[in-house]
Amino acid sequence: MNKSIWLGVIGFVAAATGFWLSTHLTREPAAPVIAPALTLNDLNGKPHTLTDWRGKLLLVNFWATWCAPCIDEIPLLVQAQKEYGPRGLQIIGPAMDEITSITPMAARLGINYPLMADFAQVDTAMRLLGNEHGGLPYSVLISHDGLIVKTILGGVKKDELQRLIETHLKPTGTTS
Amino acid sequence: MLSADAAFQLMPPEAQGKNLSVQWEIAPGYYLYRGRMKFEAAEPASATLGNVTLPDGEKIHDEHFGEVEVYRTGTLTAQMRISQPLQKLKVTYQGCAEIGVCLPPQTRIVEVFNQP
Repeated sequence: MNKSIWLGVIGFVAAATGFWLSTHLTREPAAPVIAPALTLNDLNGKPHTLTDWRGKLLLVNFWATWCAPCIDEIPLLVQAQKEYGPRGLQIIGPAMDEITSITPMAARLGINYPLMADFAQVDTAMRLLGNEHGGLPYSVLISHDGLIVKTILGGVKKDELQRLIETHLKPTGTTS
Repeated sequence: MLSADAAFQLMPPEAQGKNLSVQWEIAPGYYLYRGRMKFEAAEPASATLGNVTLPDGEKIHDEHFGEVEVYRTGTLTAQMRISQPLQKLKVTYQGCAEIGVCLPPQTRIVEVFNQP
């Protein structure tokens, strides 16, 4: 096979890899990045910063009631909070939405983690956490010591979520 | 992942007499929800809009939202009647990417091109 054909094959493989990466929207920071000290107001208007949950493996899941893929993954998150909460996982759900829309849906889905709602505040937080275009759902996994370990644009699959959580939870018996 | 402006390119609305048309170019792999479009007169705010017509979209059954109608890749044109000459129109729309990511609702106030 001559050189030009090999170059063509290599070029095709590179393009295909790039396409695959672009359609799989999970990213790990190249170097450890400290999560910004964002403020998000809960449904009672009480402000929280991400450092409120320092010491926990924090999964920040940005969502909205108008986002079907967001709603699809919530049962998975509810189950994960139930299963891994005692081991140190904390999920929070900032919503680009109105409280009046979120409250009934949260009840219907049995959401068992804190929610926040403020369109502008949540949009700002999401962009500071690397979501350039504001697409949803968008999840950010933050280690117990406040480092961003993974961002995911789009819904997360059960086996992927379990693997991420198991990988980044502090081993049982470890002290902070 | 495209920005909302790139995924749903909103063209300057055009008015000819009392007929107004609003057009989008929807990028490949994206779709707009018919039921999440809204048109309002912005300048003058006293103008009224009526007879908003859109082509038939693709009807899909969404597990969470029931029966919805969407518009996929290509040119989408909405037509409506205006009660008086309009300088600016407020347009709201929302859509998603077929890979399973949704973009937030967009609201734009756009200048209307009034044809002589």
